[in-house]
Amino acid sequence: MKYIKKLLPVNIYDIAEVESYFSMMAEKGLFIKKVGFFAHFQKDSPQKTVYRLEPVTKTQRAPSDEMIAYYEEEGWIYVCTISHAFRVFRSIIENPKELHTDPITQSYTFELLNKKLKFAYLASIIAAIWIIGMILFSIVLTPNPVLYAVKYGQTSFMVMICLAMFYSLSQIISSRNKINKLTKQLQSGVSLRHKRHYHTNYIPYAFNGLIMLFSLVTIFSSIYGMAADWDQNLMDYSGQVPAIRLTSIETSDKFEIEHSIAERSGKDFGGFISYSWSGIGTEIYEVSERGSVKDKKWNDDSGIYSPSISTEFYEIKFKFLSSRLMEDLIDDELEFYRYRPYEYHEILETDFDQAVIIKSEESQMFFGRIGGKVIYVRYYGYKDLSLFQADIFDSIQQF
Amino acid sequence: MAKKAFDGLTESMFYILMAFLKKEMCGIDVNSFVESITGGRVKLGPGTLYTILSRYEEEGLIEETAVEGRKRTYRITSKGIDLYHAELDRLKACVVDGESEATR
Repeated sequence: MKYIKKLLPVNIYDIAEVESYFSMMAEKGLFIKKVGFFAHFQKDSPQKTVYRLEPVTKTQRAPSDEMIAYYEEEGWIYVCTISHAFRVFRSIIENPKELHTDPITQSYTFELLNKKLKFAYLASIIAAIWIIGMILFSIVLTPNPVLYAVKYGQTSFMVMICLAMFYSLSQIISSRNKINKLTKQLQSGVSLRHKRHYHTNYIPYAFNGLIMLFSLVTIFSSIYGMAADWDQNLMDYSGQVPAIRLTSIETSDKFEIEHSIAERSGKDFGGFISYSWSGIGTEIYEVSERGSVKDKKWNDDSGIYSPSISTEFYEIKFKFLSSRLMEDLIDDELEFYRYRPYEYHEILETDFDQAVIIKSEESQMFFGRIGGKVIYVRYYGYKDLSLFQADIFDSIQQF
Repeated sequence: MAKKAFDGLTESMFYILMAFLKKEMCGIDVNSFVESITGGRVKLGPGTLYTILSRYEEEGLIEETAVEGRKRTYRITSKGIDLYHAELDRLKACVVDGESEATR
């Protein structure tokens, strides 16, 4: 059987409007046959048809034989069941006897539906509290939310979850309110008013479409992010590096880059570069190097002088977040030095929009941002990192 | 089965219970009985009839005695008779109160 499919332009919980819509379609020769994601209509000769929606009162979708017998006796034919919630009946008699002649009795038919909606409502509230809690935990309790979002790219996923959750919650609340109101009206002895008109409303479909689109974008961007990520040993990498190299700082002739290659992975912990993409972070590089000067020792005589440097470079989609990202990077780093003395210097003479250097014992951290680019360099050694800020600037400008 | 808004049965509920007092009936017979005894004043929609019969059966006011195809026959139980008389007494009291107020 070939059906004409249409989106249902009325909310199924607006019972009178759905009835009116089906009647109007029948007058155009389109007779409702089943309702899933689409309403399926069968084309035939136009005919005045009255439709009524009855809440499903027992767990089975289809009505019992006894029910069908009573309804057919009065000219009402069962058509289909919508969303496990309503059974649709039609009558081609001009003024058929109403299915319900006693509103108080009719209110009983809404008991199961009310129970289901109450359950859905409570479940949604619990889910909403849980999700909001998780989001608050990640945003408020995560000390550095921008750094977290840029590094791990969870923001779009969270936005999607929030949108979907608030939308479904609003739909459940609205449906529950409608059915609650109608039940109370029937309990007070006032009959359901059947309408002759309906108002089309495609907003739920638009919203569902938007959420679906957003979900697809999120899924594809996650896949893209995973596919785009790479890492490589620095000695095998021939491209440009958005970082100052350790050899530019340690200029002693006796300085040598050290390699420390893991047997299994082949990863060189002495010189490594990785790239990742997170959506907000369009380019994220991490570069690390270390080396040693064989005939030089640390001042405390703790061993051979072995300086190291690690750089994190971020290019982000939203420039306005760069300042906050830099703050988060500083906070994150200072957390590590919470119990150690450190000096904090804002560098005023700089080509960066903002530049900061923090020194603690043999460690020096440089933080700089320009436009949507943010760099964090951590150096462990005896050279003064602040003297190399121009080189750091060049390394990211030329990149 | 009491109404939600009023303390008692609705007219439809009362007449359906009354229909089973003298004999066993199926739903369609109940419909004819109610139309006949009320002279067509009380009409039972099929949804109302089916809902009330289902609720009466659930609450043990009537019980099924036979099934022939799609037709199910019921009879009233002692619990149903008790409820009917209780409702009848309530209605009588209403009439007495009404009449005494009208003639005072």
